[in-house]
Amino acid sequence: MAGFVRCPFVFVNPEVAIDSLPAAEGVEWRPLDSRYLPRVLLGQAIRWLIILGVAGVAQVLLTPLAPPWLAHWPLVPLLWAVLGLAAVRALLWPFVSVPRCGYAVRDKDILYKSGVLWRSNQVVPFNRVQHAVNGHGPLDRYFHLATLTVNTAGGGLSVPGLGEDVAERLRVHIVARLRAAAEAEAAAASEPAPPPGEPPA
Amino acid sequence: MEGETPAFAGGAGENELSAHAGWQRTSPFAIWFFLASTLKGMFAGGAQMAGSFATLAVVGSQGGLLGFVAGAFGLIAVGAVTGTVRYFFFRYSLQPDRVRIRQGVFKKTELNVHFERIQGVTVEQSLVFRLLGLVTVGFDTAGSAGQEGQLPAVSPGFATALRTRIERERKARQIPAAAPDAAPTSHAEPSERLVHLGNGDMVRIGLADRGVLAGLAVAPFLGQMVEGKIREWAESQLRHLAAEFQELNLLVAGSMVAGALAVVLVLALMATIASAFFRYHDFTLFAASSDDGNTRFRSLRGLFTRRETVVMRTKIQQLRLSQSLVFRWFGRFHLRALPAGGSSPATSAQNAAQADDNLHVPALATETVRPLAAKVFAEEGERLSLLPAEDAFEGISPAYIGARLRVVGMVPALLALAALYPFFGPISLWCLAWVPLTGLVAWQKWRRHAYMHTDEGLAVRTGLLGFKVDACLLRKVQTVVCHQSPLQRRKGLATLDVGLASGNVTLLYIPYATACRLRDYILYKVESSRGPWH
Repeated sequence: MAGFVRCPFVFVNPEVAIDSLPAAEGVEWRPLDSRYLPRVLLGQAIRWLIILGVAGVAQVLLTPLAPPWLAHWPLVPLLWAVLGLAAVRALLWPFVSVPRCGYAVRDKDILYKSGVLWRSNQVVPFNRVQHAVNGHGPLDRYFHLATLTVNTAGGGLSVPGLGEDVAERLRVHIVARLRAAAEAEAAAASEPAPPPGEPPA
Repeated sequence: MEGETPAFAGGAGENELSAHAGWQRTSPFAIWFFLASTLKGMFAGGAQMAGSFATLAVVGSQGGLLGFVAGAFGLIAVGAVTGTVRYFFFRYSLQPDRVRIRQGVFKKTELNVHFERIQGVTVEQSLVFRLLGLVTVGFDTAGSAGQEGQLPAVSPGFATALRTRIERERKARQIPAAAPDAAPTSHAEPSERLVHLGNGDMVRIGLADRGVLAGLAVAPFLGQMVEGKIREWAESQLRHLAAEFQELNLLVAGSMVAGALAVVLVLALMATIASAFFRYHDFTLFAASSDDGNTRFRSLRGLFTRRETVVMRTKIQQLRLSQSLVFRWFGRFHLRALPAGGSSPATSAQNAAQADDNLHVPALATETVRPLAAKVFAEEGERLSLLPAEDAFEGISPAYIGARLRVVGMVPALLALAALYPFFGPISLWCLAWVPLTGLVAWQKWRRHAYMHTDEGLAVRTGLLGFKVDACLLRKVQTVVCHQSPLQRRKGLATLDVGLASGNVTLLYIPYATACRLRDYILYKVESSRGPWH
């Protein structure tokens, strides 16, 4: 047994009670910023104005070129009806979908929920985060909003509709957590490991 | 246990490296490497391949066979010029802690590959380089799907010395936390031979190759592409045969057609078997463990181009065991160790190239699966089985069949019926035959889909005719997403998407409570584990 270094700490390995693990279901979800709904509506309105405008120009340009047999089919009114329905849906759906979105920040991870019919609940642990970015599009800047994107080596999550100050605080918090985790890892690495086969003290 | 021998001839000369501190060029024979690389690039992706073939077709249509040959030579000449220019703009420098590579003609890039980031070193020797006594060294780093940098046309002695130096520098610089999976100490450390594939396995790999089916499918189109005298000759032969058929009875004619198909099939099988010999001849997989528990996997393979791949255990994020229908008959599996970044969407050619850079065993006997998985997952994966027939796998909810039947079967069938009925009338009711077909497929996939998890790992089994089992350690998980469709909410079910650096492992239609508990437990393991994920 010569050469063994005595372990400086007491090794404990208690059994984990699965039912007592913190459940992601019980978190208190924070809603997105109230300015996010008008931002989404304005974005959709601009998008659909462009789409409908392009469709109108295409109709004007292509109608003279259409084959005669097409005149017997109500194809153009049908396409306009589909486009109109899609535009109405795009402008109304945010009233339902935006309130269903929410995020939560726990000590060890960040969560984001979304979806009305198809719901999803994403979790990213902080110690897997590679980098965190705040994105500000033109509309976001107008409404003083930001999108926080947290990336890992295997995907990530984006939380849109955060107030600029909230998004920046969250980003700083995540970066601080990353730094703390790296320092903790380095500190743990500098501790001497118990020799293989040595029973715990 | 046996001593690990260098794969390529050439003495390891550490002194040889000292002369490479400044910016260096590799051997002028690297032009061959760049030429081959340029030509591969011309035919790698779908767009590039289409463009190259279109060029050849245009030239061929103008000048016939001669024009086609001239076009092919033109492409090679372009490759040769590009390769030469690329060679003259390629420089490398060996620093005490890293390799620097400068390349690019118009877009200059400088690559800094730090030794401590290197997790795998690949040494490849093509037939041409074997004759010239040269090798190509590639570096894999954490987070790179393929090789991050390559040094073509260097001497085997230089390659061995470089690898030894990388391992020494890594060991000197790495933090102790990474020690359990660090690089090996020396090239000559004892290693255990885990797998060796013989000639019988080459035949099995060739027979199971999907290229046979692809070749049979492409054969008619290739036939259409035959031009000029070859086509005339073929048509005259066919006319002759047709005249003969009139005098033969139907049975003999049918036999002749079946015989012709059999010949095509045999030729395609021979081609795939030959391909298996070229790629995997003398495949051997070693596992080397040093005093501090380090493990590295090293595979050697290839008939003309010998390829040596070294992969560190930490780079492996996920093990994928698959078994096609043909392999089921042979009792063999295909094992692939997916690294970080291996899930990026890529073309099939890129996927094949990535597979070449990664650890994979093309034909693995059933009794070898468990020991190999134990080497990769170590004690953490003791109770985690990859074999698809294990009883420990739990099935998923039968609601999966109904959901697939509606989404993939009924909705498309009804839409197609509505669209086609005004034009074709009652005959378009045949669209509804799609529904039972998708139902059968959904039922079979439901039978295959199962999952198992232990305290440390997770495995998911999928498949239709064959099997595929994806296994991973919970502590390597990056993200967890729980999905619920309206149907799943009604039935109290959920889909759990477990994100890894190598891709996703998805558990479909499991009880919602199980999904939540598993998600919370995975988060606990991610947070509480001290082992590195890469």
